[in-house]
Amino acid sequence: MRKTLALFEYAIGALARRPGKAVALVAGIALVTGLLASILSLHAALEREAGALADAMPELTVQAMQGGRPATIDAETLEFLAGHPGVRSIRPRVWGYLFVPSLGANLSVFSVAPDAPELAEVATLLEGRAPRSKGEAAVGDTFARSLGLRPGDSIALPTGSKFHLLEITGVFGAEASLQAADVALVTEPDARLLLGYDDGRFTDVAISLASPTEADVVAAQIAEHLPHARVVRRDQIARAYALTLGARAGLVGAMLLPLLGCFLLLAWDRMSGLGEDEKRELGVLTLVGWDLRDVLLAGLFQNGLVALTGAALGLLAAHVYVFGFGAPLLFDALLGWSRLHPTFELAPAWDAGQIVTVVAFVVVPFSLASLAPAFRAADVDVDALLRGGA
Amino acid sequence: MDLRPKTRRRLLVALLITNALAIGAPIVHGMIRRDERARDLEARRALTSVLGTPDLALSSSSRWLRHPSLAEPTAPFADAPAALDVDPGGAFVAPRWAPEGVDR
Repeated sequence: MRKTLALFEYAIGALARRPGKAVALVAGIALVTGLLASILSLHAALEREAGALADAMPELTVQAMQGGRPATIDAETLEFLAGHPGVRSIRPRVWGYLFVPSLGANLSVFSVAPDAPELAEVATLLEGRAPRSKGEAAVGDTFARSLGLRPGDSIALPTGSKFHLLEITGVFGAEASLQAADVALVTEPDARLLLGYDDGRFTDVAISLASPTEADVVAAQIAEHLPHARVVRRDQIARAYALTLGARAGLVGAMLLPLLGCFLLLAWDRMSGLGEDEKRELGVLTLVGWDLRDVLLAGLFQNGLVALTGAALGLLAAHVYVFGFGAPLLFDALLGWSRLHPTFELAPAWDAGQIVTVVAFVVVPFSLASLAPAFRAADVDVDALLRGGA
Repeated sequence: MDLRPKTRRRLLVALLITNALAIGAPIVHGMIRRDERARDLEARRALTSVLGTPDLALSSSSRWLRHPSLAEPTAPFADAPAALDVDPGGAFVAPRWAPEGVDR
């Protein structure tokens, strides 16, 4: 124990003799770890957010397709779906997108039945209340902020060449922003008017099953009866969420490559050899009787301290960048051309095990990279080294 | 700069404490934020049920990025099947499906 402590102290002393190099290495490793951790933690948080909500969506959602594009659903289809023995209830829905020229942004318009049982729970996310009758709307916080709307205000939304007046009865809080930043929740007659839907036509149908375990069978039967319909299963969505925002996403993969390159460069610097000062120092250690094991351990501790400090600072910086400042630039890239940016209200998804794994991912290879040059340097001609030769 | 043994020891302890705090702070903050976020989870799940989708409002510019769970697989390519996704957000959010109905 005393010997290990002494070796650590020696490592600290060796780093202090070359403070510029030590600081540069710590900064380099912190940068690489910080970028890696920012991307991974943002993705993990988004996945967690979507994954936590996925099982609240309908067991099946049926859409009509025509020419490879979504089409509206008619009464006949509803009749078949409602009469299917495996179906407990259906909820035909009207929703879609509305371009708001004054913002240059798209609004997601969703209809809701004023007596929907979920609305009591949803109301806790609202400043104000949910829409109860025609001419009322609850809107997302970003949309409301963009136009300076508050509950009680009125807004005229474009419907073709005319405008439709809605009273804002509620505004979603920032905690719901990731779901509802650009949403306008209205009653069905308003949704039909805003989106141009005829009576009796619907965007899609949410289906609740008598037995959720029969989702596969019912989906197959619906697909057989309605060959042009698209049946979205809840269990598929939940599984797919683990992949959609994950490492398969193109930009994430592209960003990780240069990071990997930087890290390899740093490790290569360690492996490729030592400076004259370092060689002389190791020569002196050999001369005064240190055995090879101690020389290697001292080098390992030295690099380990550098890598651990860099990784820890990088991790902290990434955490503050993502969850303190809302990941500027990175989050903007994720939002694309979107004009209505949601409020960043994500909770970190990493647990202790995953954080320690990321730190170990940096520290272990970087520390081990010190062994090769230290091994070579410990086997040099000490006499020649001290006289100034290599 | 040569340091005295006592200074080295102090520096080592300070470095290890700093590292432990830098690694521990995100873990503790994560636990606190997850608890805070869990408080309104039921309400957000009710909102998911009302909207019919758990999709996040990350992009309001493309429907396949706004509602990847409900947009059909050909949505980004409806007008030009071999076209590149014009929205930079598309580089982040991978297409959900390969062939229709098949998990990737």
